[in-house]
This record gives sequence, structure tokens and C-alpha cells, in this order.
Amino acid sequence: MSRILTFWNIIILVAVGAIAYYFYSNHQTLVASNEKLTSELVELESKWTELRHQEGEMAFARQELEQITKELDSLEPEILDLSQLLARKQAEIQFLEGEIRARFLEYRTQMRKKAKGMTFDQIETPQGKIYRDIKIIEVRPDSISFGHGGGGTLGLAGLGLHELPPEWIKCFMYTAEELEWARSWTNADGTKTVYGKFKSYDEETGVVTILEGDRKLLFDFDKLSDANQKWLRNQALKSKAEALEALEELDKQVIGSKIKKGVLSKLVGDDFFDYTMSNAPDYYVVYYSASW
Amino acid sequence: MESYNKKIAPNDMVEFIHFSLDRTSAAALKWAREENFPWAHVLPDKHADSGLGKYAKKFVPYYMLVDKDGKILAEGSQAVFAMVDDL
Repeated sequence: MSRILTFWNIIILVAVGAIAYYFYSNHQTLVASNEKLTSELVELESKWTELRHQEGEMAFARQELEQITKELDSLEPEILDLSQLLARKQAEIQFLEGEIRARFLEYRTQMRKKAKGMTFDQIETPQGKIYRDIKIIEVRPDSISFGHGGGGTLGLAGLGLHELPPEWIKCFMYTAEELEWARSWTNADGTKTVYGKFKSYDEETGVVTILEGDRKLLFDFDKLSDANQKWLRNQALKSKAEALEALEELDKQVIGSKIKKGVLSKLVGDDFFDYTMSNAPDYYVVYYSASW
Repeated sequence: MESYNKKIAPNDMVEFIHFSLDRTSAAALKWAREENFPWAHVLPDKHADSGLGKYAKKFVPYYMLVDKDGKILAEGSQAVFAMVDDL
């Protein structure tokens, strides 16, 4: 009997122990879970505080934006006035620049006319040629002619723009633009001369294009002076080399490779002629249109 | 023509090409003579060779600015000439 009791006592003790362990383990889990929740809560609180800060900053920024927008709105008429004033001033400046240029050109023309008879002791061209005892005969847009030696009576000479000494470029007011542009174009019998920038020479058609300011002048190669023809032939040789380079460049283009040769035509005189591109542009303006 | 003379003719970076949508080259020539067009033309018999036909619209006139790689940069005369100013 006492053995049975002891057995049941042991069973009860084990059961009580198990129950106690169950409650203890549960308690531990709850404590851990509680700690985790507490930590999450602290984190959330911190985020919440941060969000409130951000919200405050946003509200402040919004207010500032509204303020700036209002200020901008109030400035708009002023900006409009200023841009109108600026446009007026720019137009005035443009006008004044035109006036200054016109006066400069007028003054220069008069000064060059009066240069006839001016004397110089000596000049040296950039090529090293020396002239002494000089008397100016004529100052032209593309050259200067003068007498030299014996008070300007022993010899006659003319210098093209590329041969002018720096002191003459300054003295006779040749501009960089003029030095680049000016070239005389004379007809075969020498009766008429114009000055302008060479634009193009088409060997096939013999058409020479010259720019006189914004105006385009077309000449027939055969009707130009020998000197002009010689210069144009040299130019044509240079152009051929450049055209070959351009064709190589055009071959690399999607657009240029298709139209560079045998596709385009240009009006020369009264008829269309094949037009081979002589440079490789980066851009094309294509105009789709018809006469109807 | 004025825009061409001022903005395109002096600019070596840009080539102006007239893609003629006339039925015949003779009609294109007649018009070119009347207006003395200084630019290059793609005449009707060269449409296919030019590779420019694919950009054409169903209306005329139509201006397009395209780069050398065939990418369209601007369409319509105002946009095209405004962009040419910036090139």
C-alpha cells in the first residue's frame, strides 16, 4: 500500500513539476515577446517623431514655396518690363553698331582715297621683300599699288593682302574680315572689277559663285581674267582633295551615304545638273514640297 | 528663301534639301526656274535612292531637321529654323 502511495506521489510530483515548467516557460516567452514589442514600440515612436519633423519641414517648405510663388507673381510685370527694355536696348545697340560700322566704312573710304601720294621711307613684307622710298598710288580693298625708289619714281609695285606689312594693314584700316574676304574679280578684257569672297567653282558647268556681302554673284569661268582663272584652277585642285575627304565622311553617315552622289540636282542657269556634295554636314533640313 | 539665305546657306554644318513631290522632274524644274531655288533637290525619279521618302508626310509643305544619323530633331518650319539658329 505504502509503495503504491509512493508511486502516486512521484507521479503527482512529476506532473506538478511539468505544470510548473510549462508556466515558467510560457512566462519566459511572454517576457521575451514583451521586450521585443517594447523595442519595436520605441522604434516606431522614433519613426513617428521623425515623420512629424518631416511633416513640419514640408509644411514650412510649402509655406516658403507659396511665398516665393507670390513674389514671382508680383515680379512678373516687372520682368516683362525689363525684357521689353532689354529688347529695346538691344535694338538700339544693334542700330548704333550699324551706324558705327557705316561711319567707319565711310571714313576708311575717304582715308584710302586721300592716301594717294603718301610717302613711306621703307616697308618690309611678311615674305621679307623690302621696298624703300615709297609713294602710294592707290589703296584698294584687295591690294595697294605704289611707286618706289627715287621718290617713288623708279619702280612700280603692287602688294596683295597677304603681302601687306602690319603697319600698312593698321594704317589703311584693313579688317580681319576684309583680309579673309577681299579678292578682286575682273572680266577677261579687264574693263570691270568687283570685290567679293569666293564661294564655289563648278568645273563641269564653269559657274563661279562669289559673295558680295549677302549678294550672290555668278560668273562664267571663261569670261574671267587669266589671273582669276589661274587662282580658280588651284582652288579647284584644293577643293577636289577636300571633296574626297568629304565623301569619306559622308560614307559614314546614314543620310549622307545615300545622297552624296548621283541623287541630288541643282539648278544652274535654266536646267538641273547633278550635284555631288562637297562637304559633310552634321545636319540636314529636308523640305517636302511640290509646285501644285 | 530669306531664312535659307540667312541661316542655312552660310552654315557649313547644315545642308538644305528639297524633296520634290511633283509628279515629274519637268514640273519641278519649271517651279525651280520660276523661284530660282539655290538649294539641292531630290527629283521624283531619285526618291527611292535618296532614302528620304520614308520621312515624308501626307501633306505639304513639311520641314524636317534630321541629323546625319537619321534622327529627327525638329519638324515644322518654325521649330526647324529655330533649332538651326542654335546649331
